[in-house]
Amino acid sequence: MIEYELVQLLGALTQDIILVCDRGHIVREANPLACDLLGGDLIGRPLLSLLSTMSQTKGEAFLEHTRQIAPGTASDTWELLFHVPPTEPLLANVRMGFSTRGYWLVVGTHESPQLSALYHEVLAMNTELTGMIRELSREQVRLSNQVSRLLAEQAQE
Amino acid sequence: MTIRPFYEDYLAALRRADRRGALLVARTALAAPIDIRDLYIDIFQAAMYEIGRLWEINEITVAQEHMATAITQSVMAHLYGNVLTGPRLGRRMVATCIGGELHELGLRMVADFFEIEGWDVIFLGANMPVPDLVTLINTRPFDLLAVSASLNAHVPEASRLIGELRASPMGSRIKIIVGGHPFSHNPALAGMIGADMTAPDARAAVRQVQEVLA
Repeated sequence: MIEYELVQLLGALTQDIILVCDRGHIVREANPLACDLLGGDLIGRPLLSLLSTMSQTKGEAFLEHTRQIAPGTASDTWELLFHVPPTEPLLANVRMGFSTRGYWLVVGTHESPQLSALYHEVLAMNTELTGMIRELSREQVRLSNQVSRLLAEQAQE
Repeated sequence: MTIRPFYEDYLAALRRADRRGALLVARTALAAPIDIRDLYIDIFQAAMYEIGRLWEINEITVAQEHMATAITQSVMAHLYGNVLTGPRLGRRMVATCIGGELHELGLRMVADFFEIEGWDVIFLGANMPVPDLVTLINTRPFDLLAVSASLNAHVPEASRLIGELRASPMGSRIKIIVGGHPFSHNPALAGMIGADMTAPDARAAVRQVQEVLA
């Protein structure tokens, strides 16, 4: 009983997403952070249904990979995107282990929203910058054509 | 001139996040000379597909994938002067995409292909409000609207955009081409949402439009 309380406390204190799934990868338990980030209706849902459409194929490959791990050991870390409507998908580094009692333990370390926002801002700035480089190229071509025209006219005179 | 070694070098530069190296490979390929359309399809697009595949098998991270996208955006921008060299046709196109900036790259390739063919292109990119787009198309003459949607979740928004445009005065005149993963997977979807055509890549898009407008 005390052991179970400690596990509950660990689940409440950790900064990671923790899910417990059965053999069929159906979520049977989730820690409070997982419920906060992925929605309160996690229990009873297949693990794959929690992933964004962009991560479905990768999620299937991840589950295929976990079939090869021995009980009591952990999988490699896989980067997966969780579906978190209505915001951007949540990126998490996920590991899975298979308990000797027949449950999958899924632990995901997620990216902080601030870091994610900063990251998207940098990408948006790159897009804006490349747009400006294109505008400069366009002007350069236009000016170059004008100079060529003027030189040709001058040569004719 | 074989393009494969350039592809390998470009992919290697993307994998080590080497923007200058990637640009050098692209410039060397152009000087070889490789046609800029082949550079786009057989090097940039092929390398980006491979980067996507590597992410799906957990060989690279999202950050590396996004870095590769940003580098390819940058390389294409630096080569843009080579896109603008041909004579102008007097045809006008407007291009927009549904979703964030990260999904712009494919549409950029399509837009550049049309510019290579002599079209004048207005590239609106991502997040253009539908009413603004409808107003733009009704106040200036365009021959073509290109809409890119990279995810199935973006199709309803593309459908809404096309519906509102079709209901506007100039909406029945303009040709609409749609592209992106949902339409490559199911080309019939294009007609279902009111578009005139779809194409799996930039080269096919130009061919399709040339046939329709001939």
